[in-house]
Amino acid sequence: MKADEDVRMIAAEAPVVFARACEMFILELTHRSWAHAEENKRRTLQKNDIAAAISRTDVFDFLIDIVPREEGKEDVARPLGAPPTDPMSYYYVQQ
Amino acid sequence: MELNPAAAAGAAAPPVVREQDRFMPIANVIRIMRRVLPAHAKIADDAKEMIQECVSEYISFITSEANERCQPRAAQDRHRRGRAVGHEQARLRRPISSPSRFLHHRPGATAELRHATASYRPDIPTAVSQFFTTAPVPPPNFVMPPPATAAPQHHNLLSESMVSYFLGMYGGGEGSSASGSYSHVNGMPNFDHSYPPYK
Repeated sequence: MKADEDVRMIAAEAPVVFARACEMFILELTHRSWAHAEENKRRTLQKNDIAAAISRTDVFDFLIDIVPREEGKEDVARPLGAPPTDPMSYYYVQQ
Repeated sequence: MELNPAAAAGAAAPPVVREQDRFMPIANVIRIMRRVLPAHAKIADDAKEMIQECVSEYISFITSEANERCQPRAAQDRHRRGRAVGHEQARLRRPISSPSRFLHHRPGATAELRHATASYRPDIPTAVSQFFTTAPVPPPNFVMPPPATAAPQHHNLLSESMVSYFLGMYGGGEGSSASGSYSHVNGMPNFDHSYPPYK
C-alpha cells in the first residue's frame, strides 16, 4: 500500500482485511488454475493454467497485462450475450 | 538501498525497490496455494512466481481504487477508508450490473468490519475452516445454474459466490436489502443454512 505515492494514511484495519483478501484471492486463483490443469490431465500447476484462469474470469481482468498470453488465444470468439462456457461462472440477475 | 553515484553527485536517482518489498513472501503464498490443491499436485516454479506477482498487483489495484474513493471526501475519516477497501473488494468480486448499488452504504458496515477484523485470528485453522464446510446463503441477486456434472469434489471448498459473499460482509455494497437475509452471531455470518445445489 505504501508503494503507492498517492496513499497518505492507512487505517489500522486495512492490512488485516488485505491479508484475508489476499489469502482468498490466492485460493480462488489457484483453484481456477487447477481446474484448467485437470482439464489437460496434468498434475502440475503451470503458468499457462494461471493465464487461462485469469483470461476466463471477468473479475481477474486487471491481471490481464501480467500474463504472457493474450485473451484471444485462450477463448474462442463467442457472440456477445452468449452464456459463459466456464462451468464455474455464475449468472447475475440484473436488478 | 544501494548507493548510486548519480545520487552522490546530487542528481535525483530513482529509489531501488527490493524484491522483498515488491512481493509477498513466496513461502506463505505457496502454503496458501497448497491448501486448495490436492496432496499429489505439484506447482511449477514459474507458476509460484506468477501468483506472487498477481497478489502484488491485486494489492496495488485495490489500493488505487480505494484511494480514488476516499480522495473526494476531504474529511480525514479512517472508518471510511477501511470501509472503502471492503467496498472495492466487494466490487471486484461481483460484476457491476447496476452501478447505483454501491452508492447505498449499509449502516453498521463499519462496525461489522471492525468487529470482524478484531475477531479474526489467522493462526487458528478451525476458525477459517468453518467458512468452507457449509455453503452460505448467497445474496438475493445470485442465480445459481444447475451444478455441472463434472464438478470436482473440492469445488465446495471455495466458489465464487462464497468468496464474494464473504467479502461482501466487509463492506456490503448491497444496500439495505442484503442485511435482512443475514443473521449475525458475534459479527460473523451464520453459515448454517443449506443450499440445495450443494446438497
